[in-house]
Amino acid sequence: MTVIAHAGHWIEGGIFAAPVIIVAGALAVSSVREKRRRRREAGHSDEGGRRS
Amino acid sequence: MNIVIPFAHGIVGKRDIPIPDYVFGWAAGVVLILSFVGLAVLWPKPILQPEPAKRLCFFPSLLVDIVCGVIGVALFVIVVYAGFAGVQVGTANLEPTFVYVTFWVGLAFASLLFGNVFGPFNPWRAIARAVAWVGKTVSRGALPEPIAYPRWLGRWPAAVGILCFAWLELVYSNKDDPSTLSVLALAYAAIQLVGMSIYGIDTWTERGDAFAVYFGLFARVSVFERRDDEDALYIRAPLSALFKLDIVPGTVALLCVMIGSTSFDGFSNGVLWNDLAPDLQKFFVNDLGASLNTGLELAFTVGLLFMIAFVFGVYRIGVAGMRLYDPEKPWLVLARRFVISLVPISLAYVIAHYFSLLAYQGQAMASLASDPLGTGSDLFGTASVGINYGVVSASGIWYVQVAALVIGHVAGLMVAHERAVSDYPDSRIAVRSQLWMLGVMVVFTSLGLWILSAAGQA
Repeated sequence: MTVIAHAGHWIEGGIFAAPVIIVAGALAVSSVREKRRRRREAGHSDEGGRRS
Repeated sequence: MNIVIPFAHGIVGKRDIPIPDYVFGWAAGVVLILSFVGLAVLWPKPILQPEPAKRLCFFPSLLVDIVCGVIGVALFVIVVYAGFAGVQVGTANLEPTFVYVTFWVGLAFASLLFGNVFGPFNPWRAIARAVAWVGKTVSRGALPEPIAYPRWLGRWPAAVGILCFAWLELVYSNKDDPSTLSVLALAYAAIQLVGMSIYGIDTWTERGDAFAVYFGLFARVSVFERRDDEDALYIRAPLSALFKLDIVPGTVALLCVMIGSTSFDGFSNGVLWNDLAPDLQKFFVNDLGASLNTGLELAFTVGLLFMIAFVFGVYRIGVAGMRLYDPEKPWLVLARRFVISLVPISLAYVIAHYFSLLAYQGQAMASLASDPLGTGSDLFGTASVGINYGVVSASGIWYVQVAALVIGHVAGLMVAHERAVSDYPDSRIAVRSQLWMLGVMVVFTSLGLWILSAAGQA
């Protein structure tokens, strides 16, 4: 009950977090891209190794 | 909008700003993102290392140390004496205001403006140096060598010391009791003297003396630097001295304690905490059998530790993100390399949270200096000087708080960027890795502004 009673304050505080949510989203996208790039590079180097 | 707000530390003010508080938070986020882009484009290689500095003037180091040391010891004696001999009322006795406002807050501001001010005034260091000088003279230089300071101990004593002081200031219900403060001041001085006698004066001061380390970190943001070997005062690029900091164990913990404790000070004045604290207190009282007072102290202790852990968690995530671009470096190595970027943030938090305290309560020193014991004396004719709450408006304080947080976090970004471009030869990797530090800065800026805004509505 206490948590629900304080929900208004949490929501009000959440407005401040908008920039955090945007930057967190950008970081998530950039992390996924970086991981994909690494996987691709690793795949390329494996293929190169098999050909040679 | 017109809101009547009780400021942190019990000061009442009225804020009149044309836009909602959260818009400032959004604007701060935009400024940080633009700063990040600007750094990426305009700052491709290190410019703060080696530290650019220029000789300013002659500086008689030994004379300054002696004169300031005597003043520092005299002030320490006066304050401790006032605590024991004066009236046991926090607002009427010199000691609480001197410790929590002049010393704790005032010296942080002075360190930013003038460099390492606390160093020469440090009473424990002055006493230790005087004793060492007498000992050397009497024994004709045959004093025993100090023990080597253990590398693993690093700045842990300072981190623990600042945590204890934060607990005293923010949690302990008897924090304003003058005689208690005097006992604690003497105990702290004794610990410092023992530390200095075992590990050497300079080594202990740089690692173990919590206050010397705390103010010393802020002094590294300043443009002034004394060089004792040349008896000269130098002017340097702001922030540049941070890169000369020896990053030893405990430094990350110390910075997290510094930011976390300041955050909790603001948070504990906010609506959310004022709603949650009684419930936490009830848990300790009803379920664990604590007294009402102990229950409240336990609740505040939990809040303080939670906030420090939160700050650590944010930094931990930021560093973990950076490891995506530098997976070979262990987390701890990266965390220590970039921890200096937290120093300007910590300073920004101090300025933002305590500016009003210094502006208002700092004025109380005029009357307390004339009547340090609270017994009705008027030594300098200023005993009746009151506090002028019109010296700065509530809106002015809000603008200072916003400016301090934004500038501090941009400075943190600059420090992290400088470190990245010096550590990573590929500037693209340097910039990408700093996306995560941008995330850390945005979180801390939004947190800081939310806390200050919430404290203003409590």
